[in-house]
Amino acid sequence: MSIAKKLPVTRRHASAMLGTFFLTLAAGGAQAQDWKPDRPVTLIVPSAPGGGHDNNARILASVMEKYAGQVITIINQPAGAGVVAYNDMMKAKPDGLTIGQVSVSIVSDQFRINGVIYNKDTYAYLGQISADQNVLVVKADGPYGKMDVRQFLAAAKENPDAIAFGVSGNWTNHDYTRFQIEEASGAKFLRVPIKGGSQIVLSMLSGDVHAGALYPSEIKAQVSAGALKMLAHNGSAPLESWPDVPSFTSFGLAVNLEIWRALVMPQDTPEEILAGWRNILAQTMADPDIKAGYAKAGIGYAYRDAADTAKLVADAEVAYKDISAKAGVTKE
Amino acid sequence: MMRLLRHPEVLAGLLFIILGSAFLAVSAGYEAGTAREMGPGYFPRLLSIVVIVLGLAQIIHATAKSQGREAAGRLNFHWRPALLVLGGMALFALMLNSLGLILATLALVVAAGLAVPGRRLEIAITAVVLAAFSALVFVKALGVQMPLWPEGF
Amino acid sequence: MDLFSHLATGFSVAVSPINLLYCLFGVTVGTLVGILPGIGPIATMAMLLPITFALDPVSALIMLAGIYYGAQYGGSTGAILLKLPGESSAVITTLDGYQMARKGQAGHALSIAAIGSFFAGTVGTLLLAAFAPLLAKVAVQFGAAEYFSLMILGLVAAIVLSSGPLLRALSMVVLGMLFGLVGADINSSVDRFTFGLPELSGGINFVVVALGLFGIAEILTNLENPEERRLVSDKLTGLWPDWAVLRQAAPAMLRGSALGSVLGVLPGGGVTMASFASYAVEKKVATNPGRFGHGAIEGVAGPESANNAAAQTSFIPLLTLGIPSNGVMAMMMSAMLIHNIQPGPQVMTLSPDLFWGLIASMWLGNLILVILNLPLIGIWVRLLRVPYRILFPAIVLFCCIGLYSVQTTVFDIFFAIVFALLGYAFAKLRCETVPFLLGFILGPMLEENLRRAMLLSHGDPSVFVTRPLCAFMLFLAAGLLLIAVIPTIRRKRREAFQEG
Repeated sequence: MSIAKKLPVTRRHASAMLGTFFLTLAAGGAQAQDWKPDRPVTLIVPSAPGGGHDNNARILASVMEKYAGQVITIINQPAGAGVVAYNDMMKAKPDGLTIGQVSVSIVSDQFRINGVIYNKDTYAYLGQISADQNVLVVKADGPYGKMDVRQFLAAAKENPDAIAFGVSGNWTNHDYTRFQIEEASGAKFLRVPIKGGSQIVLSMLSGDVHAGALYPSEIKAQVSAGALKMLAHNGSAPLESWPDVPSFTSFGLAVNLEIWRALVMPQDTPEEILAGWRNILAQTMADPDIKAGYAKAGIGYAYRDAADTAKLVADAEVAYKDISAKAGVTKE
Repeated sequence: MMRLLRHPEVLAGLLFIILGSAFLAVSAGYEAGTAREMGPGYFPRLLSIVVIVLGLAQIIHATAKSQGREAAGRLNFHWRPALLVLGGMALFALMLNSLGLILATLALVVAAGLAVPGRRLEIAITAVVLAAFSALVFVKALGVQMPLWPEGF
Repeated sequence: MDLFSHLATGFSVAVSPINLLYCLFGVTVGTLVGILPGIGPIATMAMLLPITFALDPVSALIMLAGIYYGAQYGGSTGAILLKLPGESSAVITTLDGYQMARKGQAGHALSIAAIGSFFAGTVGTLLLAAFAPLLAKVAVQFGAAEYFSLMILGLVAAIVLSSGPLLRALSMVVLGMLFGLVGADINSSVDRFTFGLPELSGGINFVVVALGLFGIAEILTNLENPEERRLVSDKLTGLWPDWAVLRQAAPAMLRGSALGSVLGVLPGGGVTMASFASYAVEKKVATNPGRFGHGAIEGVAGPESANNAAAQTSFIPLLTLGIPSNGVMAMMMSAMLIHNIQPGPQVMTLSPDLFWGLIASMWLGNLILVILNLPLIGIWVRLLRVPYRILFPAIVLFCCIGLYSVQTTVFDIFFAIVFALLGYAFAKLRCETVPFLLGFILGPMLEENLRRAMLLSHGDPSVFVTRPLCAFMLFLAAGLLLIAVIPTIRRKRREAFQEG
C-alpha cells in the first residue's frame, strides 16, 4: 500500500511546520501560572466542513493553537442543524479539553424546535469570536435595481407579495431579518425558502427571486462584479468591506439582529480552567493573524470577553423571544 | 393463496403497500397546504398514494397471470449470517464511544467472522490485524475523530 | 489564438516540480479516501486546509482539486470491485462495473473507467478553458421551474435504465423519493418522518443509504453460498482492454463526456445526474440493450466519462459566478478566500495566473490519475483474490468507520443496519435498488423546486409549459417514457395473442 505510507510522512511534515510556528510565537505570550491544556483539544463545530461556521473555526483554531500550546482538532457535527452538537457541548466532560463553537441559534432554537433544552444558561462562555451582518441586496439589472432602500420598501408595501424574498428556511437568521424588515417598514414580501445563501444568490441571478438579506461573504463576488446591489445592512457598525452601505437603523428602522459566534464550555467546568481558556482566547483574538484571516474569508471580526458575551447572549435571548412571539413562530 | 404469497411480485407489492401506508399514516399529521403554497404534507402524501397504487397494481398483475413468469420459489432468507453481520455492526456502534475503536473492531470482526463456518484462529488473527490497520490508517493517518481505547486507559 | 496563450501561461505555472508534487499528493490521497467508504473528499480537504495556509495559492488549489478527482475515481473503484459506491456519482457504475468484476473482468472495467475519465477530463478542461463565461450564462438560466423539469427528466431516466419490470422500477423510484424526504422540511421546518430523533432532522445521509442498501446488503447475499463466496472467477481476463473493447467503449466515452460537460455546469444536482443520464442514453442507443446490467462495457465507459466531465465543469459556477455548487466546491472556495482570492466573475482578469494555472493543473491531475491508477489496477484486482471470509469483515468494518466519520455519530451505523435489511429484502424480491437510490437523491430536489416554482408563479402550473427550456425538457421526458413503455406493451400484446 504505497498510498497509505505516503500519508503519515506528510502529516509529520505538516505538524513539524506547525510546531515551529508555535515555538516562535509562544515564546512571547502567556503568563506562566495560567492553566493550560496538557493534551490535544477538540473544538466542536455544529455544521459541515466548508461554509462560514467551519471556516471561522479553522481560522480561529490555527491561531489559538499557538497560545494553547496544544493541537486543536475540529469535529464537525452537522446532525440536526446543530441540535446534536449543542447537546454534546453541554454534556462534554468539564476537563477543559472540549470547546464548543456556538451561534445565535443556542438561544433561538428553543423557540422554534421541539425538545430543545439548551438556552443562555446552559453553557459557560469563553468569549465572542465573530459577528456577521445581513445585507439587503437586489439584482442590479432587475426591476428594483435602480431603487434605494426607501423606494424599495415603499414598493414592497404598495404591492404586497410581489417581491420574492429568498430566505434559507423557516426562521433561520435570514428569515428573522426578513421579518424584522417587514415589521419595521410595513413591507410585505413573498417569502421563498431556498437552501443556503449561495443558492439564494443563484436564484437572484436567474431572476426567480428579487431580494435577499445575506452575509457579506455570500454576496461579495457578485457585488464586486456589479450584478447585485446592496441597499442596507442590519449591523450596529459600518460594514468592513463596504463602509458606505447604510444601516437600517440609520433610517430609523429597527432591523438589528446581528449574528454572532462564541466559544463555550460545559457549565460545570472549574473556574481555573475557564480563566485559563479565557486568557488564551483573549490573546488569540488580539493576534493580527485572526483579523487578517477573517478579512480574507469574509468573516466579521468582533470580540467580547466572557462577561460581556454572557450579556450579549442574554440580550439576544430576550430579543428572539420577543420577535418569535410577534411572528407567531411555533415549535416544530 | 399460500402459493401466491411466495410469489416475489406479490410480496414486493405487499411491501410497497405496507411502506406506502406507513408513510401515508405519518404524513397525515402534516399540513397539506394548497397547490400554490404546498405544506410539508402535500408531496409525501402524493408519493405515498402513488406507491400504494403501484403496489396494488403489481399484486393484481401477478394474480391475473395464471402462471407467473417469475418462479415462485422459496425466498430463503439466511438469517444466521445476516444477524451476525448486522449484530456485529450494532455491537461496534454501541462500543465505539465508550470502549474505543480497538475493542469495537475486535467485537465486530469476530461476530461477522462467525457468519462463515470454521477457522476460528483465522478470525482472531484477522480481527487483530484489522484493529491495528484501522487505528493506524483511519485514526492516525486520516485523522478520523474516535477514541482508540476505553476512557481513562 | 488567445486560448492557447492562456493555456501556455497556465502550464508554465502548473508544471513546476513543487506543484506537480502537490498534484500527485492530492490525487493519491483522494484516491485512497475515495476507495474507503464514507470518508469523502470534503472531510479530507477540510483537514488539509490549514496546511495550505503556508502554501502558494496555486499549489494549495492544485492539491485540493487533486483530492477531488482522486476521490471521484476512487469512488468508482469501490463501486466496481465491491459494489460500494462512495459518491453519488458512482452509484450507476455498480450496475455494470460490479457485474463485470464478478465475471472476472474487473481489470477491463477499471481501465476503461480510468481511460474514460481521462478522456472526459480532457474534454471538460478544454470546454472550461474556452467557454467558461458562456457556460455560466446557461447556469443562471435555470430557475426553479427548469430544475423541476430537469429532475423529472432524471427520474424518467432512472426508470428507463432499470433492467427489471417497469412497474417495480417505478415503485422503487417513488419509494426512494419518500425516504429522501425524511428530515426537516425547508419551507416549514417541520421534521418529517424523524420520530423525534434530531439525528434524522438533517435528512438521511446518502452514504448511509448507499452503504446499507448496496454494500452491506450485497455482503449478506454473498454469504448465503459459503461455497461460491468468491468475488472473481478463477479465469481472469487481461487487465488491459484490447482494441475491440476500446472501440466498443469509445462512442460511449464521447457521448458521456458531452452530456457530463453540459450537466456539470448546473449547480443544482447536475453532477449527480450526469452519470445516470449517460447510462440511460447508452442503454437507449445500444443495439442490444439486454446486455446492460449484466456487464456491458458501455455501461461503465459512459457514466464514468460523464461524471468526470461534470466534475470538471462543476468548477464553472464557482470560478465564474463565485457560487459553490456542492460541498467540495465550498471547500475550494474557502481555500481561495483564505488566500485572498475572491472567486467570481473577476478571478479571470484579476488573477489570470491562478485561473489558468488551476485549469492546466486540472488536466495534469487527470493525467497523473490515469498514470497512477493503471498500474494500481493490478493490485486492486489481486485484492479480490483475498479469500472472501477475510475480505468481508474488513469491508463491514471500513463501512462502519466511514459511517461514523460522516457526522461523527454512531447513529448512522444503526440507520445503515436498517437499510441493509431493507436492501436484503429487496434483493430477495428482485427489486432493483439503483432506481431507489436515484429517487432518494432526486426526490427532495424535485419537491423543493416544484414548491418554489408554484410559489413564485402564485399557483399557476402553466409555468412549466410556457417557459421554453422547461417545456422542452418535459417533452423529452415524456418521449423517453413512451419509448420505455412501448416495448412492454407490445410484448404484452404478443403474449396475449399467443395465449389466445
